[in-house]
Amino acid sequence: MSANYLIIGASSGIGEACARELAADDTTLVLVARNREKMLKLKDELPGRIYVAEYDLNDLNHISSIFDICATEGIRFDGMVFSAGVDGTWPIKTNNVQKMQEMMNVNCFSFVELSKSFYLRRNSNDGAAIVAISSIASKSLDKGMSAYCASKAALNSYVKIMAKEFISRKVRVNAILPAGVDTPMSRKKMELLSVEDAGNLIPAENIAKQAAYLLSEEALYINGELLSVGAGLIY
Amino acid sequence: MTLEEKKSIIADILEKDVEDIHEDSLLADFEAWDSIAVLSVISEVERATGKYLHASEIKKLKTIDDLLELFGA
Repeated sequence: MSANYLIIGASSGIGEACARELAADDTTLVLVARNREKMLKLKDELPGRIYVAEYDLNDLNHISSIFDICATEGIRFDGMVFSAGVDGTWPIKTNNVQKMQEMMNVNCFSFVELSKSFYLRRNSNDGAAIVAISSIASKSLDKGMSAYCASKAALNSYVKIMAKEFISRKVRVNAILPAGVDTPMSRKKMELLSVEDAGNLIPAENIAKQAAYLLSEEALYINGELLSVGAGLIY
Repeated sequence: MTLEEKKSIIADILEKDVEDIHEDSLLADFEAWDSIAVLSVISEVERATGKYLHASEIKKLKTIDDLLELFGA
């Protein structure tokens, strides 16, 4: 069935896996990330109509421009996957205001602005769905991860409120809260923290399938849900 | 960065007064030398030098002097 999806953070990790999962001959994808090269390479590998837009989510003030494509190409989205995020590990003892703010801007506030534009009738169809990639960290709240956990916990709150506010157009909003996923971001963090055992990282493809499910008709009655994919981590 | 400044950063990480920071003291003797301290060192060294060290490099260190060296000249 033909569908139009917006994927934020499509150049790597879970976002890339979602692009691969959702791409199909009769599907249009709009990929958004900072890395244009990577997205263009991905576009070559995928079926269907693919648009690529370079954007740095640190700029909260022009996010609506991402949706200009709706007017120029006659697209109304059926779904959005928000898979952009930065991570970072530092104790409150060495808190850095700039890093803290950037994390909140990219991980949380950009999602709010994106959803605001997504919800406009000219940008999305009634019955469309939004999936945000949050993290189980928002629940397990480990030391050293204050800014990251807080940004994801805030993201969770926005997801639930949006689900309530977007009901009139039947736009569902849900989040996935994975434990460690096998992505460049996770690998980099493991290297930094000298964690050797990659052991239980969840394949990004699995999270992409969860996202596809939440965007689908099967999930029609799931709304405002925080779906933990804990891989054994029970908090 | 002066020696005093470096010692001051280390004192904060180890939750001691700067007067209690002596070059040849063993890190293992400080109660606050734990995983959070390691993360703090990574943060502070990055702030001072722009370089991100790995936790394993820091866990190998033995003395205050070893820590001081991380902050560069």
